[in-house]
Order: sequence, then structure tokens, then C-alpha cells
Amino acid sequence: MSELRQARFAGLFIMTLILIVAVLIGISFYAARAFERSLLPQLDRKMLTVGTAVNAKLERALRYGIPLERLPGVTDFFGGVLAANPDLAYLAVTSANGVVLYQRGTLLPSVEQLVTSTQPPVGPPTAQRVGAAYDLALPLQGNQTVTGSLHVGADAGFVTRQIRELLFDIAIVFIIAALVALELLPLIVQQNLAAPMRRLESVLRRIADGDLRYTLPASHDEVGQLSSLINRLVIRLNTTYRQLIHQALLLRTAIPASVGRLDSGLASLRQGFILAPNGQPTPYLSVHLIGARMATFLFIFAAELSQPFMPLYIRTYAAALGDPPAQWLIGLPLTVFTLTAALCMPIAGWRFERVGSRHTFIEGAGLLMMGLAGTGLAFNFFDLLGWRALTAVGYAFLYTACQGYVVANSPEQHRAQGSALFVSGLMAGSICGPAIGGILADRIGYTATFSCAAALALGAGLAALNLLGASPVIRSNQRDQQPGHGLIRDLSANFRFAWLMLFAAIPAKLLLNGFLFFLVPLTLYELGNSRSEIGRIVMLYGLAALFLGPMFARLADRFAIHGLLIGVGGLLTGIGLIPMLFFPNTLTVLAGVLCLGIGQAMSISPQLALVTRICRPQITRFGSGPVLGFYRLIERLGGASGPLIVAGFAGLFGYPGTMTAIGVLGVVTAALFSIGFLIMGIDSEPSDQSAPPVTPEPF
Amino acid sequence: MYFKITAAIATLIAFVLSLAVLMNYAKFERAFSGLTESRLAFLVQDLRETLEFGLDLGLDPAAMANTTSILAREAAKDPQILSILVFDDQGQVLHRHQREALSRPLSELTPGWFRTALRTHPDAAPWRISDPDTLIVGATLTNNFGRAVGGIALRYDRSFHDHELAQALTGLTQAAGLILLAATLIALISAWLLFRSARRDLRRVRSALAGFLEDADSPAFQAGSSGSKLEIGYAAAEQNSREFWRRLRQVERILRLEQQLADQESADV
Repeated sequence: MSELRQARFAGLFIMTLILIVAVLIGISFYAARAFERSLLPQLDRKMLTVGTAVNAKLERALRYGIPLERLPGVTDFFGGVLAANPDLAYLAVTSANGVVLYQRGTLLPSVEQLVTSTQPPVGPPTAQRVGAAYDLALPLQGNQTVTGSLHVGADAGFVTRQIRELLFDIAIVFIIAALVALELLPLIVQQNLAAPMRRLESVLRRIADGDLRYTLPASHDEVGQLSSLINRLVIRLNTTYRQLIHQALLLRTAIPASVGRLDSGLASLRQGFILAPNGQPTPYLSVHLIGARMATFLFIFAAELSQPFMPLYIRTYAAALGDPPAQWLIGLPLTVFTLTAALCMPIAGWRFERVGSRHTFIEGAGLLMMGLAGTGLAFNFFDLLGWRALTAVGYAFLYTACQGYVVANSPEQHRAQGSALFVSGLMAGSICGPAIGGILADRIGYTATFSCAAALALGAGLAALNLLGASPVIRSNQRDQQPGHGLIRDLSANFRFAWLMLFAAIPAKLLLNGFLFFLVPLTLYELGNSRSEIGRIVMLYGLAALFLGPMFARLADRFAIHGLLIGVGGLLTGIGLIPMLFFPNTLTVLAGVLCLGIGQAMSISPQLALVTRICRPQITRFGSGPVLGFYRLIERLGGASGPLIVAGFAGLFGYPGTMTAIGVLGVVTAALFSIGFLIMGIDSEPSDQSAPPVTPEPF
Repeated sequence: MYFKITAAIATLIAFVLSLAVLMNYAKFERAFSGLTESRLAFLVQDLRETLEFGLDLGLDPAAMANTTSILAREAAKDPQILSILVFDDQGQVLHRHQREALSRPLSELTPGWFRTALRTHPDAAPWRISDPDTLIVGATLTNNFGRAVGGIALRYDRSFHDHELAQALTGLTQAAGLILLAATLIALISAWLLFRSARRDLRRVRSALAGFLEDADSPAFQAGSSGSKLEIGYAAAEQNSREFWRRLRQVERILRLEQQLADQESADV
């Protein structure tokens, strides 16, 4: 995009963000007013109900002749009432001359304010705003005389507190809307303005350079109208030229003496110009990757929507096989998903090579949609397993289609940028999915949330018809390829590679899948968090990875500290999980998720770079595709084992104990990795070969 | 173009608003139901304490004569209370107060229903259930030995409750609709302001090109002093096209002359 267009896009993005903020403020403000109108009378009735009952008890004592100021146990009695009714702030008794005799609770107004509130109201008693509270004063009558007043108080900020409790959710909605805007607006601007304008400028530049071979795709908008005129110009110039050539040919045949003059005239005509073959200009096509980013975002969004509650959902089915269900039963569908996705990647790749990205994506979207809908409507645990496997096949197809599209359509020198675009769509989806999924599950339930995810998958499939324009056939050396026997033998003999896999790559994925996808939802739920809160916490992983990943990748490349970052990242991940046994609370889990996000952001990209360095002989022999394919396969198998291994631990140690146990495992493996590479060293050759454009795995 | 950009922003804002409405409504529903139910739970608890006082004195729940009047007094505190029942551990109703002149008869709660309620809520804390017509708040009655001997069930008209919730949802939806409308208008105006210079460039270039196609001898296009990339690109393209057009005409003239020469020669022959 040119600078001017970038500035316009930035303006559009900022304007959209401002509108989103304004809209959220507007609806929250309206909700506060509406809540106040409806909730305050209810609060009033509640205060009156409690006040009347408490008053009756006090008046009974007064009727027995006990003076108001000598009633025993009133404060304790008030304490019991307030404990059972947390929406009330205080209870107090004042004497007829305004002295506070008994009181319990918070927000009690001053004596003067209470006296004002005690003034006999006209009509039935109603609560009045007194300081920071709503105060309802009821007269206490003993033997026909008013001896004092009972004051029932509620927090005046009751309604605003309700709205304030939503602030976190509203903030999450804002973050997600900003991320969606970041995906959607570039796509719209790109498709409707930037790309057509770029094509237009490109063709004009070609005409200015004398290249008259191209026309532009016409549309009904302003750019399309200009394009039509340019096409008319190009066609007219080409047609006139063809007609002249034809006339000249006729003349050459008819008047052989004119050949020399005609040839010199035609030669000077063509000089500096390239005409369309046969006078038929061809449409000028350009491929843009932004569509692939949107497609990636949509399918990841759909797939990740159920992430924050998946183990909880599985548990409801596993409970039918044994109550409480065995932990490994809860972990099994997660493992089935990861394993199936890993094993289906080659099939998806094969499909991609045959039918191209658009078809593969649409097939994947169909499978994903069926899988998600089936998961939401599963009859029992066993068909749930089947639906998860089907979802995973769809996931593998979609992943391969998007990755393949980006790789095939990125010029060699911009391959890394293309991959970055794909990764940003992937990460944005993995941030939005869990957060929105948690909110939806809380409000509309599991089945409806799975239906939303299936609808989103369907939407992704439909969008792909427009988003993934060209259907290139991938060049075989650009994609992760399947390893042959020779390669496996060679890599197995590479001790550094084996060490990296055993003590960095596999533990990283094991911790990610075991901790984030299995332990976090279950532990947080046990700690009393709602599914929205679980979604918010899971989302932090994606946020950390999205914002810190590129920074750490740049740092690693700049200072050649790949090994150091892998070691530190592993240690940080492990250390973040250890405190859970000692401080089993939500904050500790949150810290663990953040440490995992930062740790993985540190280590994922450097791991890829390290593989390309320590496997240089194998890459020279077999090519980078098969080597990275093997690395990926092992890594994914590690990820698949995560939920099962962690479930095994959970059966023995409980969730907090398991977090600590896998934290210790993370620290030990990271330490072994660091010690091993400190002893062995990484190849002494300078790291002048940057890593090939490969993308981190989301699972 | 403006409309597509505006439609995208409007879709995004509709998504944001629907989530905000969903969350606000859920919060309201929880707060409103919570307040209503906690008030009713307080009434039921108060009743339970009164009845358990009689049980503590060794009275048989079926024989507590003033129970019905106590139920009537409690029911009089709120016109939305439809009925209050006291039942024994076998699910038989011992005392009942039911509001007269109900718009439609209440569905009967069966002994099995009462037994299930007692079994699933053995402690003193109030419980809450709802059926299509009523919200039911109840409490278990326990004797001196901690044994559940029966329970209380208060049935509350949910039409008021549902009406309030529906009103809140309608209000929120209407407000969201208005906000969406206003936001869409703002988005449309902003998109127009942001992209009008691009549109102006496109129009200028289009008009120039249309003129050139009509008349190749029309004056050449001049990019403005702060000419956009498009204008500059077009000016260069037009200049080259004019040059090619000039050459085509030249060749055309050559061909015409050659043709004339040929015609002359054939006439001479």
C-alpha cells in the first residue's frame, strides 16, 4: 500500500476503534439507566421485606417491655441477616432522639443523615438516597409509641456495580472487535480499493512503458468504470494496430515494390511498444494474500471457540462411563484431535496438490462444520470421539490450504512476510475464539456455542470462494514433506537434533496441550471461574504469543541467541507452573498461562531456526521440506501425548499437583536442553542462513 | 466502495453490539432474578423459622392450626405470590394458601415432585426451581433431631418477572439498533471523507480518458501540482498512448498513400 493509502487505512482503523468504544460506552450507559429503572424497585421491595421481618422481631421484644436500648444480641442477629442477604449493606437501630443504638454492616451514613432519613414519610415507606447508600427507615413501635427506627441500607452503587462487573467482558469484546477490525478492514480496503488501484496503476505504468498487452477486470464501482475506459483504450490501440498490419499485408502482396517502405514504417511504429499477441489483450491478474489471512482467521476462530470449555464438555460425556470420570477419558478426545490432525496433514497436502487451495479449504470447512455440529449434538462419549476426529481432519485440510496458498503465492524474497501474515491471522483467531467461546457458552450453553462455531466454519468456507482467488498447485519443495527412511535414519543419528526434540520441542508441545487445553479449563472451573473467565485467561496465551513472538524472533536472529531463548523459554514455562501446588488460586493459573505464552513466544521461532542449523547436512542432502516435516511430525506427536500424560498425573496428584509436576518436568527438560547444548554447542558456523519460511504450530 | 467499507464496519459494530446486548441482558437477568429470588427466599426462611419453632415445641406439623393464617399473612405481603404450601416428608400437602381469582389454574405439584425436592435439598438453605408459570422457592423443614419432616414451597407469578425481562431485552435491542444506525451513518460519512480524494482523482482521470477516447487531439492531461500516483501514472500512460496513436495515424497515412500510388499505377497501366 502506498503511504497515502496506508494513512487512509490507519484513519479508517482508528475511526472504527473510536466508533466501537463509543458504541460500547453508549450501550453500557443505556444499560445502566435501564437497570436502575428496573432493579431499584426490586431492591426497594427486598429492603422492605427484610425490614418488615426484622422489625416484627424487634417489636415483639419491645412489646414484652424490654427497653430498646437494652435488647440483647441485636448486633449478632443483624450479622446473620446481612450474611444471608449480601445485597444489603447494613442494618441499624436508632433511638427516637437519633442515637445509633445497634448497627452492623458497611456504608452506614452519619447520624445526621440517618435522622434526616427518619423523618416520617408521606405514604408507604420507601428507600431514600443517603450518602453512599439507599436507606429505608421503618418506625419501631413499642406499646403504641414510636421508640426508634430500624434502618435497612443497600449500596447505592448496586446497579453500577452490576455494570462494573461486566467491564472485563466489555473490555474483552473491545479487544476482539479490534482484532476482527484488523482482519476485516484490510480485507475490505484491499479488495475494494487497494488491490484494484494497484492493478490500475500497474497497467497504467505498463502503458506508459509501452506495454499494451493487459486489460483490467471491470466492476461497477468507480475503479471499475475507469478500468473499462482503460480497457477500451488498450483494445482500440491493439485493434487499430492489427487492422493496419492486415492492410499492410494485403498491400505487400498486391504491391511488392512497397515492401521496403512499409517495413520501415511498421518497424518505427512498434518501436518501444509491446502489443498483445493476436491483438487480444489479457486481463491483468494479481494475487493478494490478505484473503488467506482472513480465511485463516475465520477457521481458527471457529475451531478455537470451544477451547475454553472443551474438557468441561467432555467431562459431561465421560461422566456417563463413570462418575467421577477417569481423567484419561477427559484427555482422550483432546489427544484424538491433535493426533488425527497431525496424521492427516499429509493427506491434506496430497489433496492440496491435486485440487488447489480453494477446494481443499472448502472441503476442510465442510468437515470442520460437520465435526463441530456433531460435537455439539453428540449422543455419547464414543461418537464424541468420532466427531472430534472429523473436526481434526477438517482442521488439517484448512490449515494446509491456507499455509499452502500463502507459500505458493508469496514471491521467494517475500516468503517470510507471507508466513507472518498467515501467522497473524492464526494468532488473532486463537485469541478471539476462546474469549468469545467462553462468553457464548456462559450465556447460550454448549450446544448453541458449537452451532455458532459450525456456522462460522460454514461462513469461512463460503468466504473462501472469494478470498482464495487463485488455486495454485504448490511446488513440492515448498511444503513440509513426508520423511523417507534414509532421512529418519540420518536424523536419528543427529544427536543434537534428538536432544532438541527430546528436551525442547516435545516438552513445549506437551506442556502447551496438556496445560492450556486440558488443565487450565478444568482447574479454573474447580476454582469457581465461569467459562467467560476461563476464555479470558486462555486468551492471554495468544495475546502474549502474538505480540511477543515476533520480537523474540527478531532478537534471536539479531544476536544469534536461539539456544539461549529456547532454554530460558522452557525454564520460564516450567517455573510459571510450579507455584500452583502451594497457591492454588486463579491468579496463579493466570500467571502460569502468561509464563507459558511468554515462554513459547521465546522458544518457538528459535527452535525452527535451530533445526535448520543443526540439521544443515540433512537439509543439504534431503532438502528443508522433509527435515522440517519430520520435525513437525515429532513435535505434533508430543503435543498429542500432552493431554493423556497430564490426565494420568491428574488422576494421581489432582489438578494443582499436576500443574506443579509438569512445571518441574518443564524445568528439568529445559535445564537438560541448556546443559546439553552448552556442552555440545550449536554448529560453529555462523548463522548466515536464515530459517526457511515456516510457521509455528497452533497446537 | 464507501458502502462496502461502511457495511463492513456496520457488521463489525452489529457484532459488538449483539455481544454487548447479550452480556448486559444476561447480567440484568441474573441481577433481577437474584433480587426477586433472594427476597422470596427470605420470606420462605422467615416462614421456616416460624414453623420450626412449633416443631421444636413438639407440635405435629399437620396439627399446627395457625399455619394457614401465617401463610395468608406472608402471601399478603406480595400480590405476585400465587400460593404457599406446606408439605410433609411423603409429599402430602398439609397446609395451603392459594390466591383467589387466578387468571388460570396453577399446575398441581405432585407428591413425587415434593419428595424429589426434599431428597435433592436436604439442608436448610432455600432452593429455587421454576416451571412455565411460576418461580418456586422452597425450604426444607427439619425437626430437633435434624430430620427432614417436610417443606415449604412458595409459588410466584413469573409473568411479571418474564415481562420485566422481556422489556429489558426489548429496550436493549432498540437502543442497540439506534446506536447501530448512528454508528453506521458516522462510518459512512467518515469513509466518504477519508476516501473522497481518491474518488476525485478517479473522476478526474476518468473524465480525461473519456475525452481522449472521444477525441485523440484533445488537450493532454496535466497532473495537478500535488498529483496523486494515479494522476501521474495516467499522465504518463496517456502521453505514450498519444505517441502510439500518432504513429498509427502516420502508418495509416503511409498505407493510404501506398494504396493511392498502387491505384494510380494500375490506372496508368
